[in-house]
Amino acid sequence: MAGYITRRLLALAPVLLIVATVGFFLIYLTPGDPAAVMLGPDATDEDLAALRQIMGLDRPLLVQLGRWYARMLRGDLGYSIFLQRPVLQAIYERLEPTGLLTALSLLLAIAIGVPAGIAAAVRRNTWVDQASMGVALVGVSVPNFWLGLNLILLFSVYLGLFPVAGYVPLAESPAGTLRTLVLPAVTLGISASALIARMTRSSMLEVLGQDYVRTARAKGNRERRVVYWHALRNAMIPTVTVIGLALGGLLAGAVVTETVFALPGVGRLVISSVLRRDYPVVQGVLMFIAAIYVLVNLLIDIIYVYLDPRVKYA
Amino acid sequence: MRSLTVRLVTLAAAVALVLSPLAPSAAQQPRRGGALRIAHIGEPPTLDLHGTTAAITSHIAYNIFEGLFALTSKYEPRPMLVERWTASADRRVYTFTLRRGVRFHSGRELTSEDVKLSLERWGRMATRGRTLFANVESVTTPDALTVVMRLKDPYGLLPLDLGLAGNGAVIYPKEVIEEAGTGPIRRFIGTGPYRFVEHLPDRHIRLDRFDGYASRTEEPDGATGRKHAYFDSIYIVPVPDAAVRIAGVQRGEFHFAETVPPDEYDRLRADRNLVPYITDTPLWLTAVFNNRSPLMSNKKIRQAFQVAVDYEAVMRAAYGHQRFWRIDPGLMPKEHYMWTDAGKEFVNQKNPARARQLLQEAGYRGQPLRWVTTMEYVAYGTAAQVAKPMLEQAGFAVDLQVVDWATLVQRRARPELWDVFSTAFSFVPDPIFMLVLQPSWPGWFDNRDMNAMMTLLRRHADPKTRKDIWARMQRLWYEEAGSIKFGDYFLLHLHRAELKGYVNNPTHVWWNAWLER
Repeated sequence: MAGYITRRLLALAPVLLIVATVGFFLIYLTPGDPAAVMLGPDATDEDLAALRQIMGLDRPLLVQLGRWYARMLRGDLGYSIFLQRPVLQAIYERLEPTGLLTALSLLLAIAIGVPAGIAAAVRRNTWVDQASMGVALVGVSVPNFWLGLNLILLFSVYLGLFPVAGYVPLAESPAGTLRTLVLPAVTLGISASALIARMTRSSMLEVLGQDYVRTARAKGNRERRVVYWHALRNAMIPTVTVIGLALGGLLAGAVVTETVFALPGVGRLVISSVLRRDYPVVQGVLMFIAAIYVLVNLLIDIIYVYLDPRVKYA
Repeated sequence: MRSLTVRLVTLAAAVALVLSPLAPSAAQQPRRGGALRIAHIGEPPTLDLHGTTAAITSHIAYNIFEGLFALTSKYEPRPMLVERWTASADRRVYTFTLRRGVRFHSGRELTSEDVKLSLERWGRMATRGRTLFANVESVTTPDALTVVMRLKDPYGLLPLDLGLAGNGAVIYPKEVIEEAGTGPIRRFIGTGPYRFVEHLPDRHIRLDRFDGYASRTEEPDGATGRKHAYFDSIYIVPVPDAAVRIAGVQRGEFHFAETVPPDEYDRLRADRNLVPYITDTPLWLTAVFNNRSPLMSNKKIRQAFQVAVDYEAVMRAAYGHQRFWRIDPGLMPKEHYMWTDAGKEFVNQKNPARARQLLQEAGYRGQPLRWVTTMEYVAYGTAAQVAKPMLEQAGFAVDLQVVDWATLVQRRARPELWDVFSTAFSFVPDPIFMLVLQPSWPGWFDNRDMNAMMTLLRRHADPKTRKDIWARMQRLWYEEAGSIKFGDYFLLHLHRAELKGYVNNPTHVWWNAWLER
């Protein structure tokens, strides 16, 4: 197992190299440059050229690419043009809101999605099934920003239960942090829960039709035990995969949600950095998210072992 | 009978109110304390005013930094850090005596050396600064409170130039400039009523009251005169979504929301806790022509564009509510003493038949008109979309390219890439600062007569002469169809009723504003 994990971690290197290269070219092929954004709408061409030179943006593409690789090898993601600090530090400063938001919405998604999926499977073709799958369909279809704005309108403006926007760091007030994160977490969690509910339902249905479930029932087990003990554990493997994928979706959704709720997280960092063409930050965050993806997938593969003893990694 | 009494009393009260709008009442007494929370549209690219023309930077930085002069609500320069000043009769030597006892937030007293280094840095970095300093022979400091500027050619508008907030000639301490070298400044230390405390990107910028502020004593007018910092702190919070900025003010989390959509005006006006604030100084929406492109260097084609479009339809689509826009020929706003309607017959002709004829005379053969626009500023993109079918009706083939703002700015610098681009011009206090008239600015409107008159305009100080020159320049601009001015528009901001004393003229003025309990 330890060998397997080591090999998987080593495989991270080529993945990151590919992401680094693709990310580099994607950004350099995008027109627009940070000097223009920095100097404002009325800047002259000479001003722009001078600033580009200071920023090193006038160097040949391959020179810039070479420098980017060299820096990466040293574990240096570069220096943000706008934030005036190392990219790694900029990401680190944004981890708290994004980490908490992702965790909270994932918990919420699981807490809603798994029970709804089970209920729908156990009572398939009843109103319970149709209602929960109908809600799931709506959940998947509703865009994040629209849901977020409506939640703000209802819960913040009309009912005054939660703040409209902004973030309170954990160190200042944990209760305040929670209050600022509830609405964004619901916004993000709902679409993910829909995905999880649908996957749980279909894999539960498959498992509930298996021979061993019939055997378990024949042994005289109570239905509750059959569902939660015999069926659910086996049905969870595809669901866990989906939860892993959903985590990726949550990170992507955080880009929109953090912008709507004005949360100072990694997602917001990406959006603002793309708009102001802060190349080092965009590249750095790309690398960071790619690493998270790979690590989450590894974690899920490890969870399989505990869910299904037949799975062995040599 | 009783109802009549009530009516009479009410009437009397109303008359009294109308007649004494300035009478102090308990509610009008400024209150010291509290934190002002502003929901702004985003992050400033930098807080270094010398380095950017971005409006968001001056909104924030103008609380921290001050210049030698500032502008009144009528756009006239008045001394700020300067105690008194003189200009030689030929307007080539300006002598500024600084106010004694003005302190930086670091505690050190302001000296002529700080002013010299700041002006010179501004003269290297700022667009306006470079134009000015091309004409500066020397800046000298005969003593600790005196600065002398010697110019090569006479220049009548030096105090105005030094008093404009946007990309302004504000004064930094000598040590901050020296440590910055050629890069941006790293510490934000000024002489203003609020001092910089922290900038947590995407969370907030915090300013606190500067207790050592040395205020002027004149009545406040625009950005001039007495400044009093009533708030303990000001938080500028970036909230990119306009709907969320509005919700935040409705809910009381913010006291002020920068730029909200005009469509919301009627709804917001109905709420007693809210004050929709329409700015007094307009911006203008424009389509800038590339005078170096094969297509638009042809005057007849430019004129065909000018003639073809219904400006009213464009402005209505872009800004909605009639209260927020107007069609006006003046390149300077109607509220300004330099306003003229010279060339008004060229505005809003909406005559596709005439446009078609002009295109024919120009020998136009359906080459695509590449119009670069953006939806990042929704009004720009909307205006282009509305104008496109009008141009097509007149016979143009329009290639509308919708890109993000950063791309547009990069593309417009390269004359081979475009024919028209969308933008808006913010207020400038004099025509000499108008970018669209500068031959070096994208669009490259380079007309011999115009350039000659511009030189005259810079030289003269007499208002009557200057206005005559300007009227001729504006007429020429319309005759040549230099670019298109669709119309003026006004921004809508929103604040809570308990925020008192706030004005926006010519820029946000947060000092002298306070929060009523």
